[in-house]
Amino acid sequence: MMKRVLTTCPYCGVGCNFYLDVRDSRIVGIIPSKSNSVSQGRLCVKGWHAHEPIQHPDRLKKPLIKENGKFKEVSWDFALDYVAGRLKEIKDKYGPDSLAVCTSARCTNEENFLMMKFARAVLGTNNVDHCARTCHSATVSGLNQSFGSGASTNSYDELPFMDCILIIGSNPTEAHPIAGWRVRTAIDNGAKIIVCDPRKILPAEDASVFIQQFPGSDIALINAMINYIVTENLHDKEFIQQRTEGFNELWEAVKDCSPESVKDITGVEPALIKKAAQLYAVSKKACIMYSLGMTEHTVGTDNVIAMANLAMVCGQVGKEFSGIYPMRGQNNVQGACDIGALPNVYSGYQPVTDETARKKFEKAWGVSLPKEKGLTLTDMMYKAIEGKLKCFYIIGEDQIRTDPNSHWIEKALDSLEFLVVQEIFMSDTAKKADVVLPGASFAEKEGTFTCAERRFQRVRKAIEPIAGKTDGEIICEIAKRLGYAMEDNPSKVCDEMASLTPLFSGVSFDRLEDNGLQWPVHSKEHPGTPVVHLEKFIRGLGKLIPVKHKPPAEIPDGEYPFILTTGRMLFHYNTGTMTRRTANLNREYPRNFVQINSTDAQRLGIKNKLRVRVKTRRGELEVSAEVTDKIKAGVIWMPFHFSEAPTNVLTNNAFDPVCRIGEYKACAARVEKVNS
Amino acid sequence: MEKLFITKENLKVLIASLKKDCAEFIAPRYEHLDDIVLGDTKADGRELLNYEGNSVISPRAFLLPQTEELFEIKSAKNSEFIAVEDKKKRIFYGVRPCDIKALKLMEEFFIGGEFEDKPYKEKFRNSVFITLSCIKKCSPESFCFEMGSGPFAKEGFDLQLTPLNRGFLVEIGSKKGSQVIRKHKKLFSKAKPEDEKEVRTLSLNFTKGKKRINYKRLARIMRENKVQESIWDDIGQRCVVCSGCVTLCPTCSCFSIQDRLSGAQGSRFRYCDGCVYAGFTRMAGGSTPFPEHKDHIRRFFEHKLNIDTQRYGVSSCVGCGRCIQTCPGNISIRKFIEQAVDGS
Repeated sequence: MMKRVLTTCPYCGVGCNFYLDVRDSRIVGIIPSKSNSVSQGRLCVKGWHAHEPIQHPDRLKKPLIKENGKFKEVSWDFALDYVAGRLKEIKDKYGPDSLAVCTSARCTNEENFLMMKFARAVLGTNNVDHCARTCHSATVSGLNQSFGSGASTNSYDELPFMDCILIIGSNPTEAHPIAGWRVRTAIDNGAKIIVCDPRKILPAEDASVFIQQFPGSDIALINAMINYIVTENLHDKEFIQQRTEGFNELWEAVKDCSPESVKDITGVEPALIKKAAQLYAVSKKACIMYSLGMTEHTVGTDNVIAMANLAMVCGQVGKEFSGIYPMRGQNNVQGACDIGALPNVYSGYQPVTDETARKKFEKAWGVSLPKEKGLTLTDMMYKAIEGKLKCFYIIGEDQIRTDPNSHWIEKALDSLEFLVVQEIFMSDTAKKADVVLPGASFAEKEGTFTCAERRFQRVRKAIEPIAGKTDGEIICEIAKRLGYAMEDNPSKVCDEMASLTPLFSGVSFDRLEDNGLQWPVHSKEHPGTPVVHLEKFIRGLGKLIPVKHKPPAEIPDGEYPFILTTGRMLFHYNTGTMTRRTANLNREYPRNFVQINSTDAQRLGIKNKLRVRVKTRRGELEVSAEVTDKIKAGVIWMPFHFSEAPTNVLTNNAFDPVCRIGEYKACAARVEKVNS
Repeated sequence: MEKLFITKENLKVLIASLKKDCAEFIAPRYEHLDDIVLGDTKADGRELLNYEGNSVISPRAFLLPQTEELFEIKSAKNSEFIAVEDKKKRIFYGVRPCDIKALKLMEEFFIGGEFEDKPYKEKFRNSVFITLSCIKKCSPESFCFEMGSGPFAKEGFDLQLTPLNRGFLVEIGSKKGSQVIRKHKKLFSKAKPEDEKEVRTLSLNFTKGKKRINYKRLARIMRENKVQESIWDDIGQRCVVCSGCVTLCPTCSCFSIQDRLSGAQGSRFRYCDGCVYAGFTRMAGGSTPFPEHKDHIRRFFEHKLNIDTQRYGVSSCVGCGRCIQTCPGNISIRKFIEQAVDGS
């Protein structure tokens, strides 16, 4: 038996489509789809190998319960009864807010909807969050204040036609390769590229301006650009007048921020800042692409606001071929946010504190719902250590390896009374669990993912769930045991979420069949929205909000003289549970390393490929050195995909006060030679 | 050889009969929207009798799948294993001439050379290939005529069909092909002189304005290292190691072996590998003969356009255009050929 199942790639947030080539229930390969509007027959190296981990022998196949420190295989019924029993016990003893659910940006929209419904309607808590907290929560909080919507303003297919693309804190070639393809095409079409990054990433090779700023100096950089643009009278006065408010307040904040004045903070020559500012401002069609290099800071929200200010001052938003592209990191992190797997909002960003919204959900779900905002993922960790949070139900996330300062996360998880982890492979976080429930991969379920251009796309089942149940079915089974019936049919769940969410009330499986739909989709007849904020921002007038440079929580000193920054690489994906189990991907980069500038390396007597020790106030790691001129002197860079040498033991658990994102992109570190 | 003719109606009858005679009838069919992909149409009858374009994947995906189980390991300790054999009879219909030429080269590599690859050979020998020649360029990226592999196959097919106004012209290319004809004699008639005339017109239309590439000269230019370094620099800058080119190329034959064990049991797999990876030639200890990225993707070009031309006398780029269509770096092997030939 041979079949081809069209589905959406489970890796980054670009949302490429391919066929799984299924022969006799074994998935043997990947076939790209030319007719899919996102990927148009192209894939990156991860996508081309997305079939390999699915049927890997390491997949978890049976529920596991820990007894005397060891896992024991149990039946589904036993595990589900046990989990339901313990959840109820903890809820009765400590109250609903002693429980928390971490949903998964790897799972479908429908599953995320079920999980947030489970937290709110069944457990009775708004303590529900997911990994957007550690990637683009700053985008949601920032762009929401500026524009009234925290998602990409424009669509991928506008990129090849831009005159100017400003790429800041984003590495499209490695982290979002099929968006990177469009950048490549834009370059081939003659677009001017501005890259602002501590590393000389691939698009920087073709850039008109390459700015190598220090991590954590982005607001100073952008404010200096705004300062220069206004001083040189290059701003779009008509746009500012008609479409925005707060220009005077903004100018007050940036008027002293000249390119010369930020030279020491940013480490960038004023002439380069001026050149970039000029190019971005005068280009007819210009956009900004950014990613976690901007968001993962204690000033993440302000960084995002600064970019929105720049775009509005130049009138480079609110029209076709312009805008701001936050490149989302995970296959469905856009969707998990949209669907309300967040502590403060229901689906479609309807606040839990809004009585009308709450009443609507109470009526639909037939229960009364908690009125206060819940805890963010970050604060769940604090509360666990304080002893206020007792139970954590985590689906498809490995906090120990992905959250900053692993030792602190381990302490938080160790403080819990009960930890349930639903996973497809045994992760370091799952090892800490009392119960591990085997979940299902993307190839084993029906549903939808929403990609970074706000496009809902179908996920289709190629094989039966390897452990017997999809993640949605598991949640529904537990809900049933707690006395609450939830519909688990993905198409019907999609209809339920559409019926409760004005932002995408027109979405249904049959409408997504061809090439998905981009929200907002206000009705069954609405064609979807490639460009948002046309004529009017969602909040009405775009808001120019003054933001000022604040240094990272930890800055280099005599003992820790380097700035450590981290990121993702082309061949691996997050904790590597899938890519490390893919032969060719793992062969390309089998172990962790640290990039260090050659002048720094020479000074320290460090040679390429030799072992070094990287130390921060939180931990240390031994890795090999990659000596290169591609990284700014004084800065070191590490990927975080290797659980045997996990970079997040080094990173800083300092957080943005608004969105509670961690500062992965800048902390103080020291590098030492290892004598062998 | 004498050419035959079959009407569209009789072709349907032939296909229905052939389907009874095979385990899988692999033919072009529509998948999502206008995606055309070779697939098994034995049960559902969704094959396209005639079509424009080419399948996203070539027959290689069936003879050398992206991942293939070679044997089941019963006990890793005692070396107990059972070979996984694929003896399915497959009939491939509607295969394009470029892909037929590719199969001929793959046959040389997997069967005709010093070593015989049993899993490949078994599947290849159990297959029948019915070609559908091209009356129109299949995509803007394809250049089969220029590479001497289209619009008609010269060898390597069992039967070749050419779509005409009144039906299909039929050529026999092998014993397997004549057996099919013998068995279904009544469905065929002799081709008329005007059929052959129509084919000549089709051929002229197809080749109008096109020029053959002198691939021997190209190979010489490459062998003498006369391709400008800036061309390689540009290609190196563009390649993002997606591996799409080596996965879709109908003549890429590289694979690696991996054991996937759970305890002492599991499977031995082979999976498609390729020269675009840095790890492809990296040795234990980390050293590599080609440390620079541009030299990895260069191997793909050298293999297709230089080494195979020396080895087989023809280039193993058949001009199907798949690598160009799938490249996220907008690399074009065709453009490379032009630049290499013009610039030397």
